Amino acid sequence: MAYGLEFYGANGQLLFDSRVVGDTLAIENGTITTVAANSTITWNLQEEFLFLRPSASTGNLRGNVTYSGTNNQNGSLVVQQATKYFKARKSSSATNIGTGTAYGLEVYNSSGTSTTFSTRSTVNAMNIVGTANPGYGSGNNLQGTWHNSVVYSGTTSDKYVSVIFMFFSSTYSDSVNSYIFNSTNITFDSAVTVAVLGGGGKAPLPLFGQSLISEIKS
Amino acid sequence: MANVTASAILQRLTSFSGDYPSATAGSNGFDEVNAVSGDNIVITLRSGNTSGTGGGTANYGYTPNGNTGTGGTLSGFSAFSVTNNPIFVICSNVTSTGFISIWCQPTDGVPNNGGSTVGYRARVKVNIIDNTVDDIELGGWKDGAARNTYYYASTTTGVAASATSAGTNTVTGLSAGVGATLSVALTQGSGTNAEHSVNSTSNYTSNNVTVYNGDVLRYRVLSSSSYLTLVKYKWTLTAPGNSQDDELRIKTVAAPVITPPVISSVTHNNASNSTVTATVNLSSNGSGGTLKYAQSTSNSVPTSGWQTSSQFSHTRGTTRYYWASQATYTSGAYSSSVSLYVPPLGTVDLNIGISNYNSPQRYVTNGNALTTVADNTTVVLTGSTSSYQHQLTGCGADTLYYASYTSGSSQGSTTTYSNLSHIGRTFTTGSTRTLNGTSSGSSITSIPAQGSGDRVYIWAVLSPSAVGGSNITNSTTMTYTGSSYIVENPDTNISLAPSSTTITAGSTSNVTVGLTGDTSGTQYRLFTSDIPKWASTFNGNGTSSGGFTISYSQNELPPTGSTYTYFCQARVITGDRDNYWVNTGDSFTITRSNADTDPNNIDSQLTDINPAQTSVQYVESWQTTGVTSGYQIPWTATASSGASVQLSTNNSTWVTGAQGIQRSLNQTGYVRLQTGSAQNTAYTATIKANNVSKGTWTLTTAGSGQQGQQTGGGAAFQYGLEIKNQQGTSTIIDSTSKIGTIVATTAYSIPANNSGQVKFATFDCSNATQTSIIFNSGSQYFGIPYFIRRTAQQQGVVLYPYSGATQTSTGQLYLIRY
Repeated sequence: MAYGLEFYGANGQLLFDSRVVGDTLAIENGTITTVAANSTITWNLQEEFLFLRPSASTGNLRGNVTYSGTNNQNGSLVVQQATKYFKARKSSSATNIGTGTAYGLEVYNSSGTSTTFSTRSTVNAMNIVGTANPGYGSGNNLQGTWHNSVVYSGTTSDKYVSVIFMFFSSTYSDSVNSYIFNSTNITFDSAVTVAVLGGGGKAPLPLFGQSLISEIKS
Repeated sequence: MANVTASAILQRLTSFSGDYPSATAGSNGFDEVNAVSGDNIVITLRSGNTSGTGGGTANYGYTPNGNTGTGGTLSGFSAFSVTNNPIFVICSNVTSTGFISIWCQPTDGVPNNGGSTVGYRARVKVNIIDNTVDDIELGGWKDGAARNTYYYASTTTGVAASATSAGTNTVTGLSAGVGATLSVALTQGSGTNAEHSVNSTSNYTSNNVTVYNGDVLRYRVLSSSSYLTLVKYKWTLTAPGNSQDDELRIKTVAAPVITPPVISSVTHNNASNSTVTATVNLSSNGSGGTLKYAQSTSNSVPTSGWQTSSQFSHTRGTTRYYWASQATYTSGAYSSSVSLYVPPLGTVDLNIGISNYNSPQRYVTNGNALTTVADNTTVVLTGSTSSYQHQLTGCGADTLYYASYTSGSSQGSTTTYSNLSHIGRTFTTGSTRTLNGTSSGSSITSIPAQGSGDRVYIWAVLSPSAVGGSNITNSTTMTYTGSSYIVENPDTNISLAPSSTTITAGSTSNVTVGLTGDTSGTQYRLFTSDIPKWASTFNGNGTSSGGFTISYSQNELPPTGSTYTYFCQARVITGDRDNYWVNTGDSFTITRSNADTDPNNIDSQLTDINPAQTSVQYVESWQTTGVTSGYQIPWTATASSGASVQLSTNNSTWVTGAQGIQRSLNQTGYVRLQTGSAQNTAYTATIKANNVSKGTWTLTTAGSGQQGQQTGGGAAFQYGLEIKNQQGTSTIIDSTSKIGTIVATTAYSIPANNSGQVKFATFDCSNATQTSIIFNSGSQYFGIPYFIRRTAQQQGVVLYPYSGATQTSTGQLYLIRY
């Protein structure tokens, strides 16, 4: 390779290739935050990706998202349960947590004008462990992620899911784009009550948008 | 000789004024009897008494005497006694009228003027009467008498009986009060009738009647009805003392010599009425009798109804036989009959039918051929046809039929001929006849404008040549039959372009075909019997622009390897019409190529790995290309020795390579190959479609120097990069890391119902274990689009709006490589 850095993991997975990336994702300030139920989390959709999980080891991840501002760029999430979250953003815009430059690894782009990778912006590294494709289709031809789909299998205690939209109604305990963190998997939870079914029927919904499942590397 | 009885009682002379008792004095001693000459008068004579006029014993012991002026001889006188009272005095053989005078002792003491002293007397008057009648005379007989005619007796000898005047006989010879019986009896010939009258010129009778002296008698005989036949009757006048008779014979004339008349013709005045006046015309009057005429309902000479007039009333619609005769129905006297049939007045027949028209085959909406007979009267003009003839059935012989666009409201409605502006008419008289144009043998040329239809109404009128018919003028009343038919003139002179086309096996595009030469008012459609169905409709606009679209989504295109022929059909959609279709004669074909079920080689989609780890599962994917859409391609895989291979349709559920999976066009298949335990060994997965190899994926395990610890973390790392945080408390990167890298970003704006937008077209997004797409949209629910990954070969993803999206969704997409 003519420049930059490319390295793979133990299973041959590409860890980093400075030739093709624009930027890497880094945990904002390296901070993992825990909030109580009914707390509000805000984030800027133009710059940040919000990753969440229930603060308990298992449980529901539910909330209500609203938008405001220009192009609805300001997201606001009221969580239904105690929640841990972090915001990921581009390494180039992430704030380094340290003041010195004597540690870690930084990689610049080909023009040398932008940091495409830096270990200095976080005390914790986010490690992408999976993704959930959006759901689509109808009838017997449901594709992608739908209500009750398992989006991740494995230990969930350190896993987070990215969220751009959530909805929850306590009337019928309807949840949209929500998740259930079990000990060994994460299940997509999105179904609403259909009134005409007398309140007893639930219409499954697809995953609106794709989610990333991330773990905190520490 | 007869005995005529009389009785008397001797009366005292002094008890009456004369010498003998009379009818008015001493009447017990007087009696009067009628007798004819020669009769014997037997007088019962009784003894008188001395004080009255009754019987008594005064004359006992005495024998009476007497004398007579009757010419008779007295006898029987004897003395009265107790035992001889009365006595019977007989005056025998009287011959003239006179008295029988009787006297007897004793004297009654009064001397009589005659000197006789006989005291008792009685007297009987005898009247001699005449009871014979004088002869009667009927006169001369009649020969050459008319038949069946009464002839009256002339009662004069030598004078023949007359049909016009009657002679008389007066009864004579009888004494007053003596009657005679007049009777009549047939004595020769066959009985007709014979009658007589008494004191009358009209009250004739054939019964016996009693007549008296002085009665006036008339006689008549009915002559025979046959020629030269006699009949004779005898009248008898029977009196007490005799009878007289005479005969009257009437003999009819000999049969005359008759020449019958000859009927030359029977004509009639052809009156416009239910009856006409027929006239018998003779070529010869005949002779020998009286010329008369008769009419009969059958061909037998009538016995009545003969008349001298040669004219008869004749009811139309009947046949009558006419006769002429010199002697009515007498054989040989009458002519041969002449029959005459006078037809009834002509009638206008409205109850006609319209024949099926031999139009081009027509089709109903679903494309089936029209078979309903009732609808086939419509005239459909196609191509360059500009005239036609039609057929009418059940036509009346007396009726002419006219075709016109002038409508009639209902059967029987009328208008004048001047309102018709007829376009055609019939010229023949048969029950089934041709509806020509306005001249005999021609065709109807007045047709609707191209692209329209019109209704033709059939009107009727009595033919001028029919009985009672008259020439047709503008004021002639025309009557609507109630029958009509439609004429349609669709424009079928069109062209289709192209005439044929071929589409690929997997084509989902619609096929269009242009139509030119069309006319406004004509509707066109394409119909194919291969499905069958009508595929497209086009309303002609007269601009030769536009045409048909054969829809893929409506399953109007042929399946692979097949050819459909589409026929163009047309119908009018303006004016009167019945909305059936006819073929224009134009067609075109669409051929769909055979299906391609042999996918392209996938070697280029399979990225070999070298070095690969031993005993590790690797996953690769490929996309099925180069086949016809909709066909499932069976994929199988085999592994080289020491390795195992599995296939999946979703990178989640795996089946053995032998079991295989099915993928259709553009669908992704996944292969998972587990390397064996040998180092520096090439393990291969041979992937087959339809059991034919389409690609080989090779994983070459590293040699002994290349193999490292495969489990990251811990102190055992022998390779790679590990970076800890500043405090050295966290490992930011190690061999197990999958760092999320924003490979690309792009904005999107996708409207509702958008058919899809390709994003990140230069990036391989096919592997979900390596790439993810993050939305930052600020949208909710179905307002957030979804994406489908394209193959590694195609690259990128296709972004779609949900069907529930109602507005354009905008936002930012991040392609994350991890």
